[in-house]
Amino acid sequence: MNRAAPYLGPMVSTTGYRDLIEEAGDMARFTGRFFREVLRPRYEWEELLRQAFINGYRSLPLVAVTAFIMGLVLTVQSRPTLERFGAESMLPAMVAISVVREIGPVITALICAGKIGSSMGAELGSMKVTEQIDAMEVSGTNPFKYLVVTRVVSTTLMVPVLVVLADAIAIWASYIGVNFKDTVSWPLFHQQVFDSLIFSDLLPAFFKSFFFGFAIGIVGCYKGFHTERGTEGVGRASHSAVVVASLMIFMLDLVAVQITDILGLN
Amino acid sequence: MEHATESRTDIAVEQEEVVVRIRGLCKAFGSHEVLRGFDLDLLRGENLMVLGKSGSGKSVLIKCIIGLLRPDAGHIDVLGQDMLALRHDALDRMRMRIGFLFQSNALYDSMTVRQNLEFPMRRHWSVMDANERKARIMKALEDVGLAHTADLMPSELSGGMAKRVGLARTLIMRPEIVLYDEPTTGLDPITGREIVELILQLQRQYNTSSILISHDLNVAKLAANRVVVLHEGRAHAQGTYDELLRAKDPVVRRFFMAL
Amino acid sequence: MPGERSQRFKLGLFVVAGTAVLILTLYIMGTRKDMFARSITISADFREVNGLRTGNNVRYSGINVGTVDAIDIVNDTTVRVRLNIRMDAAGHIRDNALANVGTDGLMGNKLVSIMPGTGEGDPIVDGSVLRSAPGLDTDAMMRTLQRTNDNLLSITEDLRQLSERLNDPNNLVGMLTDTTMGDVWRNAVHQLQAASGNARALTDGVNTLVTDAQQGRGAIGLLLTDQGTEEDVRRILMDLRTAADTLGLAIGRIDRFAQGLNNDRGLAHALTQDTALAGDVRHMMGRLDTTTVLLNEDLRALQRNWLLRKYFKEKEKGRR
Repeated sequence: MNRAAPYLGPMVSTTGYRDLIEEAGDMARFTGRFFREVLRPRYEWEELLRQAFINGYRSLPLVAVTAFIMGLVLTVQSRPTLERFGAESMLPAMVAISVVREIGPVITALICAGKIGSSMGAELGSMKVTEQIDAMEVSGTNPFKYLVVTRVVSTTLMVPVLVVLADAIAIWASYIGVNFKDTVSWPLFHQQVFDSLIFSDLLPAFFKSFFFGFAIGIVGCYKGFHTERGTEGVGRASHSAVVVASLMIFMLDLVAVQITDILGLN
Repeated sequence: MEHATESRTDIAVEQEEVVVRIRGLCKAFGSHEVLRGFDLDLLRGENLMVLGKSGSGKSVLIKCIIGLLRPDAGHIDVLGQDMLALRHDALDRMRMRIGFLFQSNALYDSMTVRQNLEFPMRRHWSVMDANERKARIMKALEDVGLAHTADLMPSELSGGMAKRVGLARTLIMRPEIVLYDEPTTGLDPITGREIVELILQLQRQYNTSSILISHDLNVAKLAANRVVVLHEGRAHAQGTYDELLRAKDPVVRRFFMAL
Repeated sequence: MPGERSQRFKLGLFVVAGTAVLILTLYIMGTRKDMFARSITISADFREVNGLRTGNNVRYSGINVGTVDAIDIVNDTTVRVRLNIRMDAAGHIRDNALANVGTDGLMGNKLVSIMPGTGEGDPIVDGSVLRSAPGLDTDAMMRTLQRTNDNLLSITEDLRQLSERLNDPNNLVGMLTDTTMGDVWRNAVHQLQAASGNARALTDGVNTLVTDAQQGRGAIGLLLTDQGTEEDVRRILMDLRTAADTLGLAIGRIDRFAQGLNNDRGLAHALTQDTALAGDVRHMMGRLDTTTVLLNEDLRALQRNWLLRKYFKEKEKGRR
């Protein structure tokens, strides 16, 4: 776990499928270690709350702005298509379903992958290269517990909260978007939205956002924890955390849609 | 190697307590063998310096002692306990008795100086009340002459100040053994000298035993009771600063040629 | 530390807000599915439920009054659907009401629609079983329409040939000696009668559809916001009615004509003496022709209509 020497073999993410597979293996080990450590006592509550604040509350403005624009644009863009079928009255339902089922969770997760993933990669990466992680270890604190477990748990719990709020904001923005060209009262809009939404729209999307949060946390921490080669490595850790986390989100989304399909929730 | 054997018989004669005993330590990174059977004894109250070129494995040595790196072979006994057999909590408890000053100080840059000093005490919060903690932090900062910096962030400190804070953090749990990783590297000669003097002063005050690793002969001259020359993964020679200064061995000579 | 406390407060606010939105949404969705309202359970038996699923809405006169609770196959011809009906609506539904399976919009969710029955009935109670009426099936409707048109086409063809022969004096003798002639006529009359019946049924179907649509109920109701579509349907309806009327008239006349053929004075008299009848037959042929053309146009229009395009595409596919 502590492969500190700077002259080690080639950094991951250079080239070749071997490196890719090795990295996948490393990441699986890292995830396994997370599950071992998360269950063993000595819980870092303080740090968990601090990370939840940073990763959850501090991400809200960015997520909120994105969700607002997303809801508005989706509404305005969908209108001409529905108009052609004379089905403008389906606009709230259509936007609500697409936001709740897919766009809300995925866009929020991608924003978080960008914001949280990169900052985790960079923060842990620089802690790693300036020996702060080692310092933690020698001062009797398990850095994996203190740094990784708290971060991963915080993103796992906070991303779903962000997703729910983003959904609400996007639907509210859609209400504004509908009223650009039409006059729909809030009660009617509200009714149209809730007429179309069913539990199997909301719940699978909500559950998959836990996995999105987990992926963001694990990838960010893994990349940070395995940073090598000084400051250059920090930049690389930061950006590859974003890339890998985003990719994982899409893959998880694919898996999630298959699972909900198999369970007959579509 | 003959020097090492000699010194071990010395120790036996003097009947002094060995706090760190290292035997046959080997560590390789890939095909690169860094340590190839390194032996070392640290006596209580002693200031031992390991002298070596950059990349000779000095840092690897002390990281193996504290368990940051796992050696491929060999034994490390610290305060009578086999470090390599310790796990989890037992290892953490043992680490509380060992201080480690990092070359880069490794101050947590998301925390203030005060929080940095508080961090090692986290495990003792249940037994230490808030006032005691506060008093200890202030005492540690006063010891290094930086009582006014408690609420600064590490990024606001100069190199020398950061080193002092690092030292304060290392000593705050009153360790019995302190490992110094290149304490003067990156500092100007005057500040470096001040740090070394501070190290000596605190060592007397808290009665610690220490291993200093450095390639800086000034540190050896000022602080070391004994110097071990690390060459090609082994303890090539050892003795006091003056003994080594007079030695004929070509490897040892090369270190002192610069003077 | 004060900073830490405000951090915790904000974090708490954030989490509480998120959880509140989630729970509120789930609650609202729950009330929409009548999860928390007091309700009674009734059932209705259907021959088929057309893809109805548990959780689909139940409407009474177009108002949501409950949800589908369970769907069980009772035997090879009966599907029993259990319906949860909200307490407050249950008082208005009588046990002679008719249930059918419909669609919320042409492409929307399936739903169970309950219509008030005729005559007096008692309010439903827990365990009541409603009678079911076959739902308005657009597919079946279109099939009927297509069949009617085919029939009309062949009839028109037959009649045209017949009248051509009648108009040719050379054929008159041959026809007079042809004993099968009476059967041909009788056959034509039967076909016309069937076509007329079909057209009438279709007219009624479309009529219900349009009425439903106007009241915002039933299959097309929700989607028929487009004025153009409604007018299309109205025009088709008019044409169909004309077709049915024309057919009715034709049948009456042909009947008379056939009687004339069968009576003792025979065909020769009918054709030579009764010039009024001959004129009538000719006139009727013309009208039937026009009607057929109109109906054909309507069918083409329907095929182009987006609402029904799917049906015709499938039909096309089936043909291939």
